[in-house]
Amino acid sequence: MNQVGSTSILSYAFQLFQPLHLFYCFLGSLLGTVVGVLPGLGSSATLAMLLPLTAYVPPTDMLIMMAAIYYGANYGGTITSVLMNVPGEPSTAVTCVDGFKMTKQGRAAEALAIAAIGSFLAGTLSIIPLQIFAPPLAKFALLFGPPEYTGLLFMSLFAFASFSSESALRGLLIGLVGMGLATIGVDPISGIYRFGIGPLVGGLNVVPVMIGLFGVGEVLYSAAGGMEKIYEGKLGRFFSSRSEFLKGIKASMRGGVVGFILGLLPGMIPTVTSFLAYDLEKRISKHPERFGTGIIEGVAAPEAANNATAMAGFIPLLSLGIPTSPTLAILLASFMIYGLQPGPLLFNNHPEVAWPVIFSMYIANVMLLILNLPIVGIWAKITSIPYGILAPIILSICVVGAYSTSNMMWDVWVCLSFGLIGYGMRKRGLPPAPLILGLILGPMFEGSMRQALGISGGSFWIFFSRPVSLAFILSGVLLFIIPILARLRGPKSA
Amino acid sequence: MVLRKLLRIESLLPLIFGISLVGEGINLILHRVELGIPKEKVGPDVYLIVIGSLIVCFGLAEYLTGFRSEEKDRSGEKPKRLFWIFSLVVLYVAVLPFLGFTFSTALFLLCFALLIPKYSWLKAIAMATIVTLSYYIIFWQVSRIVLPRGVVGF
Repeated sequence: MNQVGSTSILSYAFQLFQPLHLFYCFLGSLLGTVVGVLPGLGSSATLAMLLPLTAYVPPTDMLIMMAAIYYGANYGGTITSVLMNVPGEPSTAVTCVDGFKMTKQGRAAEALAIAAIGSFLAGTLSIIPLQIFAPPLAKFALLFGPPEYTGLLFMSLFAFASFSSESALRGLLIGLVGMGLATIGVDPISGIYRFGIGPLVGGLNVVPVMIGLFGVGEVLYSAAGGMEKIYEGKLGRFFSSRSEFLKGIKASMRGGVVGFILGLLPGMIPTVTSFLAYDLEKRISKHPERFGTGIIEGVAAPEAANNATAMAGFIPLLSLGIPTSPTLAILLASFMIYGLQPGPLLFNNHPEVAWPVIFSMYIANVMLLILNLPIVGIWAKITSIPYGILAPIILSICVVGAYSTSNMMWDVWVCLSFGLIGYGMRKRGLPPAPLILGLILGPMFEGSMRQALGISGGSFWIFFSRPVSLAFILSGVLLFIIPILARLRGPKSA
Repeated sequence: MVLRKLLRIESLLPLIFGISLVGEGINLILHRVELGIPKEKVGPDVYLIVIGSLIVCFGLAEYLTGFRSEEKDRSGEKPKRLFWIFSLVVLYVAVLPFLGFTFSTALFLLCFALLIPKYSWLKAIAMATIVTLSYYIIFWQVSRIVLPRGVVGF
């Protein structure tokens, strides 16, 4: 930002209003929403498929479009999560927990509206620090080494597990099962096969497991319970009351901050930060027991977090050339195809690309809000379709989503198996979210822990000798113990 | 009754899974010793044993105290309906690689509409046709997602 004067930066902002730039910005926003709605198509797969277009489309336009697809997918993914309990994108999985419950209460429009507004606020406000603090913030994130990551992941797992279930131990058990499932396949450090039998050699893909647990599990549970419609009665308004709206906005702001700060760290993908934002929201709430019953904060916080994380990921990408997620790695590849090297020199050597891409995010977020908010009512009407029609449609969409993960029937069978497990978990009131979190964070935790032990020559002292790591570990233990003690000491009804 | 008994067995799943993790960890240690690979402080084997043991401990405690008493009251539940729906989905997935996505989906939707909500033939055919056509346009023509082609080719 220092290299180019503020007048020049403003001139790049005005350049963005060229019809071609605006067209690609709109196209990216539209494609992103569609990609998010379709469970079988992720933003990374879409960007990869679009790479050949780099031969025809000018760099600024192409990068504007690709960036819009990346964060637009988070908007679209919410729609299926809220209406059908099928996460359109992995980053919207946690939205299913309260979003679908709101739908069942006839508040689908409210859930979708707060998700769109929260995503817009968090996404737009995240662009300001992206403009101002990109280089120094990215340097701070680089101070995190394997021990600090291990501590952070330890804290995340323990904290989430303890608050996701009535019983902290039960939540931890489910999280551990997720971590155990994540060990299946090739060990990324030594290359040794664990459970290397047949199709298990490749490990379990998170997406089919997630679709099975949430989507198939929900259909089986609802259909077996004799459900006729997801919601019978009049569809609710955008917001039932002013206080609900304000609650949603406040949760969005908190989720946005969590998503943005964590999004600066490599590996902290929107999927993870959305879970953490949900957990934080539950932790600070006066009524944590209401989470999971269809509460507006449970939708607003994770939705804002995933969008803020998507934006924050551009800081290390543009200022240091470090992608923090697979989708951003593809975006980095497209920069390179054009002969542009993201990093400290990008703003100096190619300001005509860097600044319009950043400014386009403001416009794309407005476009995404305009695309999503007015049609919320139309989407919400899906809930009044008889379940006899909706159930097979959801099941076939789940099959498409699972199959297209890696184009193998194995993934579809995995999805069905986890559907049955999801049904069983619902029947016994067990939350599926810690299992997904364990599956996602497990490999990251194992990898960073073993890397740290490699640095220390096998000594566990490394986790306790570094202040940041120690603070995370202690927080994790405290956050796990406090609810247990509170339950033991408090009245049973609490 | 059989279905209910089967669903109770699932309470043991975490225990079985934990034991298999420990078993695989021990198997990897034996394999490492056999090949003479140097030991890591927490290698891929020890990590499995630790996670597996924790699952066994917590799983046992939960099995004895918690899981069995947690079952929700679902007096209106229809186990037969669940059985039919799941069987239909399994059949659908089984024929998918042979018949291809479009035909198997049309058949699945038709059978589902006839058997579960028991729609009339006309209504069931209309639903299956409209949904399958929409899928064909969205998945094959617009987004071009790779899906099982089967003998028919789409």
